[in-house]
Amino acid sequence: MSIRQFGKLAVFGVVVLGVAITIVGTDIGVGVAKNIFTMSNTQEFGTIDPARGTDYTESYGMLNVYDPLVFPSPTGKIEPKLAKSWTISADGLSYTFELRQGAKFHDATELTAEDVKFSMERILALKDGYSWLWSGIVKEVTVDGPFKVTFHLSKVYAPFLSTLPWLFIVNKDVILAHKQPGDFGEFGDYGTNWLAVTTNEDAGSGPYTLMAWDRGREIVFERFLDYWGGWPHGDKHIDEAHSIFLQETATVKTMLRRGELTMVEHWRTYPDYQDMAKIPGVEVLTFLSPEEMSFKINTKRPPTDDIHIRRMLAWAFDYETVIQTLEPGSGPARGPIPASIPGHNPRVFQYHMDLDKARQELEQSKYYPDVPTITLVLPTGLENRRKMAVRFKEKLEPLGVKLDIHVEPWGRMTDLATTVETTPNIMVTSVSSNYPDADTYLNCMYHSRGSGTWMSTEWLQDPVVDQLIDQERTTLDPEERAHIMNVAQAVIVERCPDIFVYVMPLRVAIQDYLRGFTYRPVMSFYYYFYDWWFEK
Amino acid sequence: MSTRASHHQVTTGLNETRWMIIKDRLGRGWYKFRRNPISLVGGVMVLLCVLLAIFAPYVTPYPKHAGAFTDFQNAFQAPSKSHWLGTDALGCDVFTRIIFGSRISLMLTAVVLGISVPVGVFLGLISGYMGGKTETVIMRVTDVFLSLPALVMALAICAAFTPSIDKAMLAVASIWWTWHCRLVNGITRSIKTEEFVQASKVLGASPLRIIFKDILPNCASPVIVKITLDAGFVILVGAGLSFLGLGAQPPAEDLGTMISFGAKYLPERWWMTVFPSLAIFFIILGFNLLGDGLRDVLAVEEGV
Repeated sequence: MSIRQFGKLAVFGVVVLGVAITIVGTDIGVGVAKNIFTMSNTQEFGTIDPARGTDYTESYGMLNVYDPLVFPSPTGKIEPKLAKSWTISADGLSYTFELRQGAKFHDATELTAEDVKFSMERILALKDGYSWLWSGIVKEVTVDGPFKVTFHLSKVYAPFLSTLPWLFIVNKDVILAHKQPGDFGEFGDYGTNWLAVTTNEDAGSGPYTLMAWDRGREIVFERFLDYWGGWPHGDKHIDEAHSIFLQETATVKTMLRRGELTMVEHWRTYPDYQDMAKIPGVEVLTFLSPEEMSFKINTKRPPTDDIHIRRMLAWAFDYETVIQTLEPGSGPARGPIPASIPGHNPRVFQYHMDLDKARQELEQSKYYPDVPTITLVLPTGLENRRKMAVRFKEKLEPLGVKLDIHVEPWGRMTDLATTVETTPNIMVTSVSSNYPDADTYLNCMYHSRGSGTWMSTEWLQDPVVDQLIDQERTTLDPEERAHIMNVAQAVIVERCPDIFVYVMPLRVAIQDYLRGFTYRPVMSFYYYFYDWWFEK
Repeated sequence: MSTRASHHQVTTGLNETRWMIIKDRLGRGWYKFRRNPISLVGGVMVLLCVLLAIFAPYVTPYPKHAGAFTDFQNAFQAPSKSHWLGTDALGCDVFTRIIFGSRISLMLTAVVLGISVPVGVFLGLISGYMGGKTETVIMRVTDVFLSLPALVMALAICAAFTPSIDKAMLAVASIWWTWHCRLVNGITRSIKTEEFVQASKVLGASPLRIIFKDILPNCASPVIVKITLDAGFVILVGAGLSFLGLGAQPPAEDLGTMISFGAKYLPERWWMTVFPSLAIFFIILGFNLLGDGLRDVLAVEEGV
């Protein structure tokens, strides 16, 4: 090649390079303007239909795409959202809400009282998702004006307001436009088939819209620029939120290290978060969750039908090691309700490890000295629970009490819980709040009507406890109600149906440029993308 | 009298000759085996594993760590002088746990093969010798079992019950007999037409006598080779079941369970996964080398 030829080629090359840089440059420019957020999930999204979803991923999907009337604050206080204000009738049977004007659905139409009425009727008709919170309680919803709506209850239900964060308002016109033939007369299928298959449409008014959905792998939400609440941090807000289904923690850590994940959800183990905290630019946030870990004891199956055996177990448990070594950052339990939940009784009795007292209780038992083997079942994959169970076995061995540990898949555990005969002596589970009120635990775990679920494997079925819970749910005076709930907790602790271990910490790992993570004591309400922004 | 005495002498003589033949065969087999370094290495590896497993409480540094033991302060220690292979999430010595874990894995092999080989061989002999409907029924059932992957079948059986190591053993055993049944069936079918079997028949020997005295000894070498090769696979299937949470229950751990728990802490705490994996690798390699060696030795025998 001659020098001239080389010169020509060089000039050509420089021109091509220049053009390429300009094109790529513009492209990068567009890319930089977008704030892309990615987070891992241990499970996939089943649905984000607000009348269907229940679990933690589904819940935050619904939360970001749809708005409720009211919203829980970081302390569990109920604050206005779509509802500006509300009044409660003196008999406690009607709740009237004044709606905010100017709230727009994603199709730019205005949200009105008709949509609120429709949303409640829809979830009650479908009998799915969180409908159990209101079925048999909400009798009728009336529209009193374009922005005024009243819920009429069939009986007094003290925690009603606390349950309303789960009522997500859907766009009535959009749902009916997509209805298909179904079981609900003029409403057809209530748009359920459409919401079950759509991957880029929704019927919400929330700060984010459903942008794309690759089922079993990833779901993407996009910022709704016309959100009625406005965007206080302007361009720093998240434009696209990607939730990726990633079970393997090793993969998650690698992606976090490479910056491919902005957040790791709360389901990994403590040592995992310790590892993640060591990655430069990664921060681990810890909060006390509304979830309490307990060893639920079947009070109807030998030998744990004997209260002395149950108390022996409670005295033999090594609470301190578990709280300090296995779950640092967790809070000590005191009775069945976490301290952060309104209605918690801070004065109930709490056991500590005392093997002498355990032995005394054991000797008082009708089964002593030949105590039948105690079976304990814990769910697969949860490391800390396995460690706790082995520690427990280690402590029971010198007392001559045999503990048989079984690790079972979660689906099988819920099956075992359905009858008193199949429920093992001990099940290791944790229960979280559905709404920020002590009633959520009392009612689901200890009332006889709740028997047969994984939350109520104590099979307590105690008439005194049942009566106290019924009273608490129908008492409107806050002080009187608090008193009844305190008594109920004291009675429950006296019956010793659980080893109350600790209030679980909630940890998330984030890249430190993510700001605004706000904890709220209701499941998944802390995964509210609207709270967050990037500070790069 | 005299005829009886002479008969006795003859049988003694026969027995002696037979014994000499066996001794000669054994000697030649041992010679072949010794000459084959690979099988020798395999044999030593298997023997080492078995001895370590039997004497686990005496050879491990922390035998207490095999039971319900926790020491969370010492959890996740990297390999060191006091813990050669590090410690696990409970603070237990990984080396101790591997030795005790291989005990469970070897036990699994022994129980599974102890149940499935006699059953499979017996059914194979019966079906091969009897033929006809008996054979059709037995062999079609075998085919059905063989068409399902062992691990999937064992999973299905385990999932129907409360998970435990006993159930896992039974589940694997309930499918493993089919391989031996098929093998022995084929051999029996070919042997039953041989002249010495026909001769026994003509002499009036009962079917049972023919099956066990004439046919069974001729199946021995392939079955033995298959057992040694199988041992490795059974360990692997057992480890697979345990990995999926259907094997040993806490605090007991077999090698598959150890890997399953350890995998959660990869890659930082690699010793919890890598060493149990190497242990499985070691045992299976040992059995396979031994099996290959035995095949060579016994194949030569058949040739003679």
